[in-house]
Amino acid sequence: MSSQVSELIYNKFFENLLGNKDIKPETIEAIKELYKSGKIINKNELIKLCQSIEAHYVKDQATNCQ
Amino acid sequence: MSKIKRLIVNNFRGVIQESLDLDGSSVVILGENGTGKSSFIDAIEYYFTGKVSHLEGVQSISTTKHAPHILADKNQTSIAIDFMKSNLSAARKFNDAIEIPEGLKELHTQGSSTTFILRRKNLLDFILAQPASKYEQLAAIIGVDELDKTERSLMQVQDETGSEVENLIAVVETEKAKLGDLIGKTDFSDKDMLVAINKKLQELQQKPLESFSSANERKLQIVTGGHSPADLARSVQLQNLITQCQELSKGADLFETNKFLWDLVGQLHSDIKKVRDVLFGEVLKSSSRLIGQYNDIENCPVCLQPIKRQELLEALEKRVANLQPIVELSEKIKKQIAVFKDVAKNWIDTLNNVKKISKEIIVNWDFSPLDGYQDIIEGIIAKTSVEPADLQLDSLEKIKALPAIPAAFKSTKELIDAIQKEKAKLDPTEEDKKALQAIDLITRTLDSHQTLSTLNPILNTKRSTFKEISFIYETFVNTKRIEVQRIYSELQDNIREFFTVLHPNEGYKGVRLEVNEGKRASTEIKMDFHNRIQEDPRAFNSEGHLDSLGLCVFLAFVKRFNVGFPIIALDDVVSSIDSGHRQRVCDLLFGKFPDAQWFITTHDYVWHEELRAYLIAHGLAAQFKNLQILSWTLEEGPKFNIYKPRWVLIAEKIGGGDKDGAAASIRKELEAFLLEAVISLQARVPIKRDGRYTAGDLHDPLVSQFNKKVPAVFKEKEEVFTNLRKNGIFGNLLTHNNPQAGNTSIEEVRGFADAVSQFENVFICPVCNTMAIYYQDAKIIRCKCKEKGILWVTKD
Repeated sequence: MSSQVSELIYNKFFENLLGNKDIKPETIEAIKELYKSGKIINKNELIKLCQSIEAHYVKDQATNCQ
Repeated sequence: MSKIKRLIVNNFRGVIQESLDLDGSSVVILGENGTGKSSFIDAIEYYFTGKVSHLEGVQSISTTKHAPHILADKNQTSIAIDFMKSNLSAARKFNDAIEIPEGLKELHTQGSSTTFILRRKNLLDFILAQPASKYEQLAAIIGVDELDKTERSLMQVQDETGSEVENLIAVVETEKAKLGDLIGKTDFSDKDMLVAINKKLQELQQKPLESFSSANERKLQIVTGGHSPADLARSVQLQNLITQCQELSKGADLFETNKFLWDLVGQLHSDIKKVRDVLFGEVLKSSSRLIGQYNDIENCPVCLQPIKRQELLEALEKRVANLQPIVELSEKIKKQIAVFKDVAKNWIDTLNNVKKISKEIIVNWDFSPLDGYQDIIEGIIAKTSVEPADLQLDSLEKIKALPAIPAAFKSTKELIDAIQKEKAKLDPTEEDKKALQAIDLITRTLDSHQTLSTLNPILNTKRSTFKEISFIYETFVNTKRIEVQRIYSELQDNIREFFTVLHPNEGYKGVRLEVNEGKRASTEIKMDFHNRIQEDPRAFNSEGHLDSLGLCVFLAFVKRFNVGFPIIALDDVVSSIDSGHRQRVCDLLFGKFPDAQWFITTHDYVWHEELRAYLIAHGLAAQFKNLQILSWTLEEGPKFNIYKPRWVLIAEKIGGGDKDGAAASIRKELEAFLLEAVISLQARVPIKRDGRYTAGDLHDPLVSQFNKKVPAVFKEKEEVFTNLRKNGIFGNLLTHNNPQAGNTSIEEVRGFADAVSQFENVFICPVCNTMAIYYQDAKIIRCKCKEKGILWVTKD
């Protein structure tokens, strides 16, 4: 379990991510989930997050091409 | 604020089964290193968090493996706590989720998510750390070390994604460069590229492409427009035949390259005696072998006269040895004949091969000149099939003069010319070459175009992903930096206040913690000292001062974040702070945190005594339990005793006739006292790696420092020092299993005790009961009560 100080900092981090056009809302949700499940420190889980971000962009490209 | 009523520890770390009945009191546990004191602190941490932090994050060590007692089953491990509040209790069993009663939930949540334990290791790591790792140590103290792990993982993922993008860019740039070389265009839009490739095709006098999809069809048209595949195959065959004919040409040198054979044969046949000796040598070798192998031969096989075997054999060997050079010459000729035959046969094989291929692809070539040369070679080969002595070869000059030889090689040259002429008919024309260039251009352009069409969308998605993950990483780092700095700023006032409590009027002020923006996870601690502004505290602080700075950071954190949580644990953290400052540590702990339930462990007997004295003097003794661990065994764990001052124990042991136990206790008392006095008087003691000092290590440096600083006082007290040296021998006898120890009387042990007591009284003020401290700047040694007690001016 994160310490209360860590928790404060994580919450501020999520706040700072919100509302930026460079980051998709689904990415923020995914990273919040990682935090809740205690997996945010795990590099492999973050790599999976990256792969899902990439998958979103591939999907966007396919949609734009149609 | 609910305090602990009872702590029950089962099969955990060094404890088998212990119950500390506290009734909300604080507790001080005194014990030597390795007697299980810290197990109780670990137990409280494990109860709240399910882990022991100092067992985590180190390879091969973990709470799971190393928290249970090593002789117990994990399932027998448990920590139970009864709280004062409504007699509520909860227990954590190994690997089980803890069930918390409703009334304890808030306390438990707080305990599981905050830092309330300061260990000696935290302080040592903090003091010695460089800025980057100092942050890590502070992060561990304030409980944000997990953020570092997240930052590190995010950074690695960002770096890896960035590398992927860079690699893709490199491949794309390479392909674009290839396109630039091919068609002078690096733009990858289909339309522009088609224009560029058609411009090139026009230069090669080829028809333009209508689209990229028609490229393969165009390639086929170009191929079928030139020579047929059969022509190309025939061209290859002709080239092969030319190569073989060139090999045949080398046959002209056959005799010249084997001139050595003719030279050797010439040497042999230059003298008829040599030829005869060859034959004779063979007869002698055969005779020697015959007589040597068959013992029953009694007569010479040639002349049939009786022989003397041994003498004859020796004579034969001698004669064979004399003929050895001519025998070796004969052997050389045989080897050279073999070489000649090989080369000659290869030439004949090549000729036959040329004839065969020529028959297939060139009709009616006249090979009779070459056949003539073949006859000459075969004739010579036939002549070489005899023994060297019988070999009769024509001279080289005669052979070379044969007209068949130049005829053969004239014919070979004509054959090569004829084949090359035939092949020239099949070589590509200028038009063919342009067509081939066009095919190559179209093929390579298509390849690059295809690669770029595949890579560009991938590069775009990777770039977008990289941008997003970089933003996440940067946001995390910035948030962490700003928030950690905010926390530092919040703690700063308390750190300064607490540090001033510990070190009033010592010239320290302005303690500041700063996140170093230039570096990842880096914190710098700065403080003012007299006229030096904002410097690294290590520059002018003793280890004790740095210890107390770490303690202040921890306590400031507790003050800010642990509101409502009563437990504070200090696991062996005050040992390097000198006597005068320890009083102030007590002022800080009990003055600034009056409502806390303290768990304090120490191996430092003197500090323990001072703590007790402070508690009694300030009316706090009733709020503390004093426990002493006398010994520890793996099977039984720590053995507790109600604390008694060591001099009381010594007196009891002497009274009971326990001279061994009494002397051991006196010696321990002396060692603890000497260590304290060495610190207080700043005596120079050679550092020991294990940090364990005997009385012998400490005594002489202390006395020497005392004599140096206050020689007049030393002279006055010299008898006390002499007396200790004289009686010290009993301590040695009784504590080192010396066989003579049994002869020592209890009176002699009492004398040893008196000597130690008198020695201690030299340094302890009879008024305030505190130890004298050396103040270098003021050039004095004094006790806490100053004028009324000890005050010696030093000879600096």
